[in-house]
Amino acid sequence: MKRAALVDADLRAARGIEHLLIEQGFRVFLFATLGRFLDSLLRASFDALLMDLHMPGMEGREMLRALRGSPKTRRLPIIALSGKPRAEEDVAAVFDAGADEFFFKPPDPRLLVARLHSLLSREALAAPETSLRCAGIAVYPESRVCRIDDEERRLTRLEFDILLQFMRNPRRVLTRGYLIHALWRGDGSRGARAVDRHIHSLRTKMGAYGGLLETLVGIGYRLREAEAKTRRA
Amino acid sequence: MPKKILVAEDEAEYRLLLGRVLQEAGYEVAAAANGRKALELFEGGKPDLILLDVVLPDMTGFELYKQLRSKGARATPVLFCTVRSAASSLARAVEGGAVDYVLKPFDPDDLLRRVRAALG
Repeated sequence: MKRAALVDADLRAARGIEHLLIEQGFRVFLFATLGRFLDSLLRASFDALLMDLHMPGMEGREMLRALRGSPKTRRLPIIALSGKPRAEEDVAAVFDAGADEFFFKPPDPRLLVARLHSLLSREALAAPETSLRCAGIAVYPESRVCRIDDEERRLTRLEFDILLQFMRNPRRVLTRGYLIHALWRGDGSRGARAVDRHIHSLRTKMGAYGGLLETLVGIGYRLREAEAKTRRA
Repeated sequence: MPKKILVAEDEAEYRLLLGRVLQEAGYEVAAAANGRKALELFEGGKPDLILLDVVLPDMTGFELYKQLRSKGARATPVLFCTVRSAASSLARAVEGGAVDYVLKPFDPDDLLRRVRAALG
């Protein structure tokens, strides 16, 4: 039996969708807050997630990006739901943030079921590897391949891990402390200078795109670019 | 008269980053590395906005917010910042009265958008 997580603070709306999914043979897990859903991920996994984008205390698009950055939910089929008026919702931004499908509430039941089955079939077909892209840089986290302008570029393990951090966090400032924690789990013997040294080397290997890694003196670095997108290669 | 923002952030790099981004945008920043210092700075001049890290060395950001509210910050907008792995605690922050939150690591432009929105 497929397991679907349904996150919606509006219980009346959620009950309608829940019944629909149960009719389709799903086991449904209803969460009134995204926090509770995130907590549940520590001990459970789901085949699909349907989430309201506008929950109290959470920015839905931010949460979509966070879910796509996590290994456990990177490939989870996600259907985003919005109760906002059509003119106020930036649907393209919702897809950019990582949603697989989007519906205004209340969703058309037949369409919702059809799209959900379609997403699940797609996953079953051993989805091709996800890549992260920014300008001419493409990173494949699973096979640990980096391509610059479609040519494979050999990186050391650490250079690849550093680049992956930036590709997963475009425009965000990654402090050296953050990188030390992410790369060496906070091992204090790995100093800021080690980070600087690896970034210098990575920049060289990024060629024309090395300049996208901006230094913020005394703080850290960030990957400058309009938007890095996650795509199915 | 620039708007004043009280920042409580224990990590030096983030404190420097927040100060730099906010000052470059024209705000006056008072930054503290712990809750006790933040309370002192608050007494020294009421801010227009408070930006609190959820994790501080001497108290949590939630505890600090409670104390600031008891000292007169009830009407002052508050933004919490935290790491992504602790994002579930933000629901609690909003229930406690925060107007918004910032996830670390953050995009400076996104931070400024949230600050401007919070200041109205």
